[in-house]
Amino acid sequence: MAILEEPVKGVPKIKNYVDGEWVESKGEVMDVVNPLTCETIAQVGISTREEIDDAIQAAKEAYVDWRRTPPVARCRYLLRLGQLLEENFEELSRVQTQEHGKTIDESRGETRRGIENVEVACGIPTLMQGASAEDIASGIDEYLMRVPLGVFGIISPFNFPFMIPLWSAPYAVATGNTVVIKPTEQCPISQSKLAELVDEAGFPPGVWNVVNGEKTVVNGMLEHPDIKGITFVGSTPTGRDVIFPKCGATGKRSIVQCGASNMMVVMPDCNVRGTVPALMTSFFGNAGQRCLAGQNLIVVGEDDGFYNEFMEAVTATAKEIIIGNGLDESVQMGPVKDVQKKERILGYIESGLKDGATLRLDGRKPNVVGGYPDTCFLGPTIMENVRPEMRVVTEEIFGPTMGVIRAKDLDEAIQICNDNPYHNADAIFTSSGKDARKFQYEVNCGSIGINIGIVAPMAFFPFSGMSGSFYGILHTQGKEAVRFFTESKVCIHRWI
Amino acid sequence: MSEKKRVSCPIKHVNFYIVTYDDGSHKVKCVNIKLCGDSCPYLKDPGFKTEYKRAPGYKAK
Repeated sequence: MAILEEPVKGVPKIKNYVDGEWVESKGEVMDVVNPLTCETIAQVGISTREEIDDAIQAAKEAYVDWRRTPPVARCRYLLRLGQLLEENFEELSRVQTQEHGKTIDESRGETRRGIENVEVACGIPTLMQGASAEDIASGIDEYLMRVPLGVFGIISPFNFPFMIPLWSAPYAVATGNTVVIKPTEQCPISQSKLAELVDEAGFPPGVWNVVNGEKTVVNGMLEHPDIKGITFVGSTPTGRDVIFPKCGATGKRSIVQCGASNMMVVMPDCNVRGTVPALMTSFFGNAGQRCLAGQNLIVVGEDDGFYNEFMEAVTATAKEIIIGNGLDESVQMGPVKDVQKKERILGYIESGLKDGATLRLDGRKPNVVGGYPDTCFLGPTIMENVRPEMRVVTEEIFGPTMGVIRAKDLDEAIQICNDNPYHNADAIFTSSGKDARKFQYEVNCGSIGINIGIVAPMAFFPFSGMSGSFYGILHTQGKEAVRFFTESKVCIHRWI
Repeated sequence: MSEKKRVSCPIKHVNFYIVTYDDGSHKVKCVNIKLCGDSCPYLKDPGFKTEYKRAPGYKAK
């Protein structure tokens, strides 16, 4: 197939979007690198403390009028934004492929999932309604309103650079808050494109701000008294040890969504023809760089015949995955984001081998179609004889690897799932409703898949997660996001 | 109208409908049809199938 045209040309300088204006950062400049070619495709400023403070101040000032804007009027801006996102769907998707490396199909899926959150947030006039009760005592009525809080910070990771801020921002602004988004400095272009559309949609200055940068911007948000809450998606060490405790210490509400080491449990009665492709996208889609990716395959049963036949099917299919340029529509897996991430994944493979795992499929020297340098590429890697206590199971790899564990029965498989330090999204593949129900009931994790390899909740359901993978109470997306971005205010009244 | 078929578009990742009439003509009923215009492959061929596969198919022996 032909290679699609790249929308990002030259080396644009990515600016901050503050108070409705495009502002060049005074901080150091960092290169944004396309992992396919390792060429610089943009430059981004690493913003200073003053710059994040200015953005928060602008958002605080904008909040005064924005919260008084009727919800139905606020939604009109989002409806216009949704329309602009549709009009720019393909360009936004190709930008993600260029800055991140993922395939165009994965980028299109990401764009769609982002737009769906804008669409769901357009229901705010209904979604943020409170409750009321007449005559709670003689002649006294009581009602509850959901009111906005002020300025929210949104900190997003590299793996879904376009979509993840949209798990939060549409709900935040629809409910009357204002936002400051810190995109990942590794892939900031799609958020810049999104801000261009926000600008075109006519949002009032200061309602939607984007400040590029690194730790200084994050700390600026965490320490600023005018930031009422933060949503964060990123690694568990940063989320658990920095974001969550600092939000607690400064009285901010927080949604902290972190890493994972998800388990895909295969029962001997599964539909092999349906299960194998589902596992391919689960383990190797987005080059394994997603918190919903399968990392461990648990094959249940002591029947070596089923195990060998199933693993043969998995291995043969994984070998067929076409690796290369994500803008080539025949390609099924792109590179990982950068060399450091590749080295980290290679380190985990070495660690697994050292701990006793064996390689069934070695993806360390992949065949990249199109003659691109293999600098950031890895192929699907399958390790067998993996045990639950190995680092390749207890730590998040975030790459295209599959560690295969054998369990004698479903009880043992469930035990392995529950003993893992992460509890994000586990799945079972079976044709038994009884086993599926047992798995759903007994496995402690935020999202459960039944014959589904990537358990990605839709925009109108919370993006759930549990301990190790999540810190907080409410989650992003849907009604929980609405609840997070509003405070309950109760009014009791009596007229004498 | 002889047939109404729901289709999943691999380009925009949305579901839409193709209505086929008794005389063999067809209409694409999609919210994005104005945006996509002539680039919509279903306008020419209601049976369009993308060559792209998210994952290689598994063929049982």
